[in-house]
Amino acid sequence: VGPTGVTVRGLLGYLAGIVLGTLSITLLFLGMRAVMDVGGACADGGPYVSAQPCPTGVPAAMVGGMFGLFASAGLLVWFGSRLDGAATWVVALGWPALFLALGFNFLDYAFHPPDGEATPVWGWLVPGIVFWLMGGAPLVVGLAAWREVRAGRSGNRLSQSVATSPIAFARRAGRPAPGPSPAMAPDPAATPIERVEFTRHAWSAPQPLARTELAGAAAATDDLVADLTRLADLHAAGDLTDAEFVAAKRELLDAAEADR
Amino acid sequence: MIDDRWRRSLVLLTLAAAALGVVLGDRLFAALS
Repeated sequence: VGPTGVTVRGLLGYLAGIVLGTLSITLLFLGMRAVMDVGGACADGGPYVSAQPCPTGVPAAMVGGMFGLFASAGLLVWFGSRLDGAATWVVALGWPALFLALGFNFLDYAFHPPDGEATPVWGWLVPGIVFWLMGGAPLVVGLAAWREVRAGRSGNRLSQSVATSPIAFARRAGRPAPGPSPAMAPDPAATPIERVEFTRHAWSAPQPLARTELAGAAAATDDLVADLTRLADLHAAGDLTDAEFVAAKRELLDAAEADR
Repeated sequence: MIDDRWRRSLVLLTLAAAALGVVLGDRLFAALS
């Protein structure tokens, strides 16, 4: 089925992970409501007489739900990664799904308590808000990031790779990119020294401001020496003609003079 | 590379499986309690 490399077994494994995931969350959701119906806490077993035994089936549902969630995550990552890289991310939806679902229970009971308490019941309202923040915040951030990536996808493959890479974020933040990017490709007509300079600048990481403030002069001198040495090497290797070498050297020295 | 049609089918299958999980979970809880 589907594109190359996708097997029926892989697809079924992934879908089983989805079924098990929502099944587990449903069990936890219903188990939680059953416990809240009897006041919010219950206990079974042990040497003590329980003041509030658990509703029938709740322990099994809660324990089964928790282990089911882990098993579901395992299935989704294992089989989802073979189906489609994006499918693996479905597992990340488990977190907001769980916290929004359980948070809904808290909020529901805060405003509709089973024993007719005065509303809102703060003991339910506060955890409800906390759960919704815990589930909602990653969801909102995740969706924003997903839209960003999708926006990049609509273009060609080049913009796709850029949109998903740290380069894109660095450039958007107005800082120099940490490596060469398509927009900075060297001009084919550039002289060898220009190409060397492109490579040097394109790969240089953004420098902290303190460096220029504290050791500006010394660093500038070091840079100049390094540039002149590189130039001389290129000249000696025959990559630069005498005229090019003299012109490039003049340019470097003039630039250094202007910086001073 | 996975094409858009296949991906759409996968999303629909995922949603169907999620709904099935909720129904099964509901039934299972009813059976347990």
